[in-house]
Amino acid sequence: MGTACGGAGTDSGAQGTAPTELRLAIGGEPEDGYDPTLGWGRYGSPLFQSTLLDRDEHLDVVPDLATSWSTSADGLVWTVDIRTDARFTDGEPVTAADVAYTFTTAAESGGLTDVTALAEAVAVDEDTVELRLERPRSTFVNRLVSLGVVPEHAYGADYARDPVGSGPFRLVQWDVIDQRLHADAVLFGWGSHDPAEMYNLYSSTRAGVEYWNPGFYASPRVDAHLEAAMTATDEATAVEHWRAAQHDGEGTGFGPRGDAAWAWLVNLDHTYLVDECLDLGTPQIEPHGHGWPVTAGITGWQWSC
Amino acid sequence: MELLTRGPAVLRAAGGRALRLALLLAAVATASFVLMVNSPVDPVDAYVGGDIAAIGPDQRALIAERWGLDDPPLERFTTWLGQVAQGDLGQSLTFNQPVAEVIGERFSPASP
Repeated sequence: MGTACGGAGTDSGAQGTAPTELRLAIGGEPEDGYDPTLGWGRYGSPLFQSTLLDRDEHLDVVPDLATSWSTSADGLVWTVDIRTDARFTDGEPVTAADVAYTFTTAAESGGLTDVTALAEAVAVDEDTVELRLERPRSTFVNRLVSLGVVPEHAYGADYARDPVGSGPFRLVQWDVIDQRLHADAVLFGWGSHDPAEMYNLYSSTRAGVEYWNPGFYASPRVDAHLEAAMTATDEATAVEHWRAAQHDGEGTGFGPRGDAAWAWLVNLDHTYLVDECLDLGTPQIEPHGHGWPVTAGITGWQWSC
Repeated sequence: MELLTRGPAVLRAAGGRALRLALLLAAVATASFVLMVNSPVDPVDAYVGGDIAAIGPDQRALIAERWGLDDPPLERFTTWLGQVAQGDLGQSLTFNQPVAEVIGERFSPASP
C-alpha cells in the first residue's frame, strides 16, 4: 500500500491550541477490511493490532507484544513469552490464547498472509505461546513481525470491518472513500481524467452530486483568501487574494511554496483547485483507462513559477 | 365497466414484464458465470497480485479452497442459484461483507 504523509497542524491561524488530530493521506484503503488473518498489515504495522515482534529503524527484530522469544535446536518450535499488561481496546487483556488463536486462524484462513508453515499454535500458559512448525523455517520470524493479534472473544464475521486490537490506533469510524468515487486524487488519480478534466468536472456541484473528501487540506487563512477572492468586486483584488491563497508569503497556502506539500491539485472543501503555477503541457489522449496514475496523460507537466 | 376490462389487462402486462425480467436476469447470470469460468485470468493470481513471492503453493491452495474453486463449475453455479432463490446473495470476498449489504450501501445517499 502506498502511503504519503500530509502535514499535521495546517491550522496555522489558530493560536495557542495544540493540534489534537493527525491527518494522513493514505493511498487507497483495503477493500476487504482490517483482518490480519486475511492479510491486513502483512507488511508490518497493522495500526489497530499489535504484533509479537517489530522491526526498529535498523530493521533489527525487537519485541512488541513479546517479552522474549526463542527457537528450539531443531528449529521446529518457536516459544514466545508475551507481556501481561497489554489490553485490547475493549479492555480485555491480551493472552497467549489470543496469540495461539490468531496464528491458528491465519494458518487456515486462505487470505494474503502465508502461515502454512505452522503445524499448531498452543498457549502453554497465560503468557507463553508455542508455535510449532511443520518444518524449520527461519523466515517465519516475518509472521511474528507482521501478523496482528486478534482477540478470540471479539473475532467474528464482521471483524474485518469493525476490528478490535491492542495496537496504537483504534478504528472509530470508517468512511469508505471509494463510495465517494475517489481515493487520493493527487497521488493516484481518477483513472482517465487528467487534472484539467477533473477540475472542470468536479470543481462545482454542477454534476448534481457533491464530491468531497473531507480533511485533505484546511487552513482558515487560505479559506479567508479564497472567500475574499470570490467576493471581490474587481479583478485585481480577486487575483491578489487568489495568489495569496496559493502562497501568502509566510509559508501558508495550497501552492507549491505553501504548506500543503502534496498540493499539486488540492481539495479544498468540495472544490478542486489546480494551481496556476501548474503547466500541464500538452495532454496525451492515450493511454486511457482506469487505474492509470493521474499524471499518465500529462507526462510533460511542470511548475511554471 | 372499463375498470373491469382494464384491470386484468394491466396485471397481465405486469406479469409478462416480470417474467421477461426474470428470464433476462437468469440469462445474464448464466452468461456472466460462463465467461468468468472460462476467463484466462487465474482468480488466485489476480487476488495475490504483487504478493506473489510471499504466498506459497500451500497458501494458494487454501485460497482456492476458501473460494470453492476446486468444486466443479456446475456445482458452484447451482449452489449460488439455490442460495439466491432463498434470498441469500452470499458474502462478498472483495469487501468481506454480505453482498446485500454492499449493494444496499450503494443505494443509500452519501452522508457528508
